[in-house]
Formats: sequence, C-alpha cells, structure tokens
Amino acid sequence: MTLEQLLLLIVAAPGFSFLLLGTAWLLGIPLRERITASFTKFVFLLTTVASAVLGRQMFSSGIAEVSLNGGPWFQAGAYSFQLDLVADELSLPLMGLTALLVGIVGTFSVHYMHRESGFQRFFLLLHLFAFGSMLIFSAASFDLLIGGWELVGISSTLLIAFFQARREPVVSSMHVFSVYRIGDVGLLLGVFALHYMIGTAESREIFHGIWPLQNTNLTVTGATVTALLFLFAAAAKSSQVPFFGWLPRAMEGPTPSSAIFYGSISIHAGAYLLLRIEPILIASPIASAAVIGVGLLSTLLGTLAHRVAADAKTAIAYAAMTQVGIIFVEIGLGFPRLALAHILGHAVVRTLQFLRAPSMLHDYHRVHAAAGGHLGVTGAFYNHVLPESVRTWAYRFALDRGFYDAFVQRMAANPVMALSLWLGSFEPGTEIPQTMYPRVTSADALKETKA
Amino acid sequence: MILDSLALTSMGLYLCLAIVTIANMPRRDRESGQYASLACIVSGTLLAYAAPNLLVFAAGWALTIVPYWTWIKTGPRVALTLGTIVLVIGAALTSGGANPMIAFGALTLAVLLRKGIFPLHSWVVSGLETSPILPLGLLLNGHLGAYLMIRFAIPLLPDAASLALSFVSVLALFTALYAAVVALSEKRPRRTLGFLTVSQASFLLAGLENRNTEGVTGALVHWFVVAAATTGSILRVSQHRSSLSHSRLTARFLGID
Repeated sequence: MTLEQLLLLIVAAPGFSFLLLGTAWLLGIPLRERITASFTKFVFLLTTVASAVLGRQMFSSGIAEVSLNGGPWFQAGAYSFQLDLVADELSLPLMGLTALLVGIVGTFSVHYMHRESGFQRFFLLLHLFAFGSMLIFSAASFDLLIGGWELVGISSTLLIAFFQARREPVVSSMHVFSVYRIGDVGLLLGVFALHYMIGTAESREIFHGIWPLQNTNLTVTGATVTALLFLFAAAAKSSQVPFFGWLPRAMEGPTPSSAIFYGSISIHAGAYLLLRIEPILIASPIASAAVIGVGLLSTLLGTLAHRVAADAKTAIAYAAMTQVGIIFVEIGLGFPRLALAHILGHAVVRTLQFLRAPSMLHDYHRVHAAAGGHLGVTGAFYNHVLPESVRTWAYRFALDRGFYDAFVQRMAANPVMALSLWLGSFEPGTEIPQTMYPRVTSADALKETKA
Repeated sequence: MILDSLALTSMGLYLCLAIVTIANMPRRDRESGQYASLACIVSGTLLAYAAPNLLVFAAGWALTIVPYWTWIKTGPRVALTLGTIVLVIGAALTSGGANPMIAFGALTLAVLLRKGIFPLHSWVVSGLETSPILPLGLLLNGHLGAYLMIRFAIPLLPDAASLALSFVSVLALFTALYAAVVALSEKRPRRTLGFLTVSQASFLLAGLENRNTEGVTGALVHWFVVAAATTGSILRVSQHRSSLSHSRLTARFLGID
C-alpha cells in the first residue's frame, strides 16, 4: 500500500462507515449493539494503525509531506474545487490522535450508551464527526477545510441535542449552533479574502516550504485581514473570548461526546486553524498580538470560571478552555511545535478526565484513601494575599462567567430581538408576544384547547 | 422541448423532491384533491423547465397555480394569479419586440411576485400558514422565478439585465436579511418556515447579478441546497403538525423554538 493510499484510507474510512451506518438507519434496518460496537472498533483500530504506519514510513524515509491529488470535484469558470489531501508534521499527529481517541471513546460508549434508544444515532454521529475532523486536519485547501469544519459543527450540535425529548438540550444545541454559524462567517470571509487576494485557497499556493518553516507572499495588510478573520472563526470553535458562553451549554450531550468534542478534538480545531496559518500570523504583528490577547483573556476567564463551576463537566470544560487559551498564546508568540505538543497532551488528559467525570466522587475518595487522609484545600495563599473585597468581586465575576451572558443579552440579543419585533409588527398576521420569550404554561394550553 | 444539462438537473432534483414529499405525506392529507394539486404543480413545473420559449414557460407556470382555483380553496390565489398575468404580459412584450427595459421590468415583477421578494413577500408567509403546506412547498421549491431569470430574461434581454439586475440583487439581499430578522421573533412554526423560505429563496437572485459562470453556478448550487432543505423542513413541520395538531405554538414542537 502506498503512502497516498494510506492517507486516503485514514480519511475515507470514517466517512465510508458513516455512509454504511446511515444507510442502515435510513432503511430502518435495526443493527444490534454488538455489531455497531465491533464495526466501530474495527474502523478506528484500522485508522489508528494506518496513521501509525504512515507516520513511521514518513519518519524513517525522511518524507516531510505526503500529498494526495484527488482531482477537481467541480469546476465553474475559473474556479475549481480540488479534493486534495495532505499529511505533514502538523496534520498527521492530529489525524492519529483523532483516530485513537475516537476509538477509545467509541469503546467506552458501548457500555455507557448500552440500551439507550439513540444508540445507533450516537455512533452514526461519532463516525460523521471523525470524518469531519479528518477532513479538517488533512485538507490541502481551505475550501475543503470548510467542509470538515461544518461536519464537525453539525455533528457536535446534533449530539448536544441527543436527549431530544427534553427541552433544554435542544435549546442549548440551537444556542451552540448559532455561535458556530456566527464563527463560520469569519472562516468564510477569510477564505473569500484569500481567493480575492491570491486567487486560490490551496495551501501549497499560499504557503511556501514545509510546515512549520513556511512563508507567504501576502502583504502585511492582507495577512492582517485574513488572520483576524480566521481568528474570529477559531475563537468561536475553540470557545475563546468573545465566544466562550456556549461551552457550559454544550455539556447537555452524553459524556463520551463531551469528551471527544470539548475535551480533545473539536475544541482544538480553532488552534489547528491558527497553526495552519502560522506563516500569515508571522507576517502580521497585529494579528499575532490579537491571538495572544484572545488567549490571555480566555485563560483568565476560564481559570476563574472553572474554579466556581458547580458540576464536574462544566469545570473540566472551563479548564480545557483555559489550556486552549494558553495554546493560543503559544501560537501567537510563534512556538508552533510547542503548541502542537500542548494540543496532543492536553487532548489525552481531558479525554480521560471527561470519561472519568461520572466516577469523580469514587476517584476522589480513592485518592484521599491512598493519601492516608484528606488533602488540604487549595487557594489558601490567595486568601492571605488578596483583600476580601477583591476576593468577593472575583468570586461574583467568576460565578457570572465574566458577566458574559448578561452582556451579550443586553448588547446583542435584546437589540436584535427588539428590531425583529418592530419589523414583525408591520407584517400582516403577526401576533406580538406579551414578553420577549413567552413560555407555554398550563393556563395557555388550557386556553388553547378550549379555543 | 429543451433537455439540456440545466433542464435535466432541475427536473431530476424536482422529481426527487416530489417523490419524497408524496412518500412522506401525512396519512390525513392523502385525499384526491391533494394528489391532483400535487400532480398539477409537478407537471406544470416540469413543463416550464423543459420549455423552449417564454410562452410555453408561461403555460407551465400557469399550470402550477391551477390548484388554487380548483381544489385548494384557501391560500395565495391573488398573488399567484397576478404574477402569472404579469409574466404573460412580459412574455408578450419580449416576443413582440417591445422596449427591452419594459419587457424586462415585467418579467422581473413576475419573478418578485412569484418568489416573494420584499415588499411582495407576505403572501408566502400567510400562504404557508393558512393553505395546505405540501402543495405550496412544492410550488415554491420549483424556483421558477430564478429559472425564468437564468433561462429567458437574462439571455433574451442582456442589456436591460445588466442595468436592472443590480437593483434586483440589492432587493433580494435586503429581503434575505429582513425575513431572517423577522423570523427571529416569530413564534408560529409555519410562519417561521415562511420567513425562512423567503429569506433563502431570495438569496438565489443575488448570485445572478454577476451574470458570469461562477455567479450562476453558485445560484444553482444554492437553489438545489435550499430546495432540498426547505422541502425537508416543510415535511417535518407537516408531520409534527399531524401529531400535535392541537397547538399552533412553536414551544410545543418538542422544544424546537
């Protein structure tokens, strides 16, 4: 098997398995849990081994990059959508990590999701997510990367709404979906900017050399505009300032999906995007400073919020956000290899933490028993150093997550809803609600039934 | 008949949408009037896609509104009829060699009426709320307005199109934004769907302004995506409506609000 075929196998296997499971689901063929589980384990064992073999071959042969030319998907005038894949020092470790962690999470989920009514749906979405992630990491053009980016987004929101019979997961899912879509505007405009300035979104046309020692022909202004647009998209995907409000809402999904999305792969997709455009960041001091600023602010907010979070999953999610903030800072400072190593290590640790979250109390007691008594509380140092008023304010600030939700509600959501209501008042047949967010009460239902 | 790649692709997609719609039709909607309406709309749309000239196209267009004068007693009868009359006038003016700007203006007005471009959009919203949703969904997802622009209006009247399409494009973009914003505060699912349909359908026209291969291809791709997605949404709302027929409120729709 050639290296190009191995690369194709790694990317296509989850997509093919998604198609198989999806076809069975659409045709109403009930697959037994054991079959779905065995199939999932086989697919991700295969992709993990293929990633390892590809990496070993590249390392032993001194090959820096493997490219697969898939030819054009479609052409329109001067534009051509190329299906090209690439495996290099940046993408291959992340592809291998995805295969390994999705396999582990899949194996864990076999027991965790046992006899759930949506067992097959969960695994279907897991395969779709894996395919989307592989596309993001292996895409040789930003046009193709958008495809993977959207697949990850849609599988993520569908898994948040996994328990669809309850209202809260569906509402949270819509919230996350909205934030993703706002972030996607940045990605789309960034790609449009590349097409406008260079005439292509192919990585090999934009960057020269081998990652991370690449450079670009973009002007400083062009690099700044493009990098800031990509930073906007990356911040939304990686739950960084100013888009971190969706993270606790995303915890409505099953724990294994939280582990793979918000602990390991999806939350690092934004960091990957910034690593991929590292030469553009280097060409723009303003964009580099913005990346560092976003990372620092997110780190500060994340570390404060995670200390006061009332539930384990939210606390871990904010801790993940803190670490991704530090990864952003590393990228902004120009340490791509350090950032990549940080991503790999952090993803593994967070996956373990998320998967152990349901057993946290058990682990807590076991650690204390092993230590021979209760461990001391942390944070005593700050109690001595900081005055009480500052501590109280910091506590409130952390508890309200930087007043972010209130700020967004007041400055963005309320004006848009007011505009919507005002415009709607001119529409024939529109019923003006008494409040902005009316809820159906039993009295409403009774009135409606009588009507 | 013209059966080139544009016509065949459109016909193939539309037939798929029609089959999916009929296969997923709620049991209580399965009666002869509904089937006759769908047959009329599908055959009219297919005739319009394969039309070799504007007059045959207008005949197909007119056939799609026949159900609103026969089997379907409620709904957007006036707006659809007005659009058809304007189209016939536009076709006659174009064939008769009248002033290109006037002919293009008539065809454009027919498109604005058919697609529900602001300020002529209200009939789509109220139609989706009050009349049977599946026939109107199929009628709207034929996107005969965009097809008229791509197939006849722009090629037959290129000079007038180069002057007028900027205005149409701006109006379409405004409609897309306006309808999306209004939909945010709408609490009734069928009206929300109506605003979303208007928003997405109007976006199609924006791509036509460039009149180059990329612009028209983008519009066509968006058309196919919007047609498939809107049909899916309409079917879901229709099925939910059947199972939760006592409620008009979005909050009842399994929390999807």
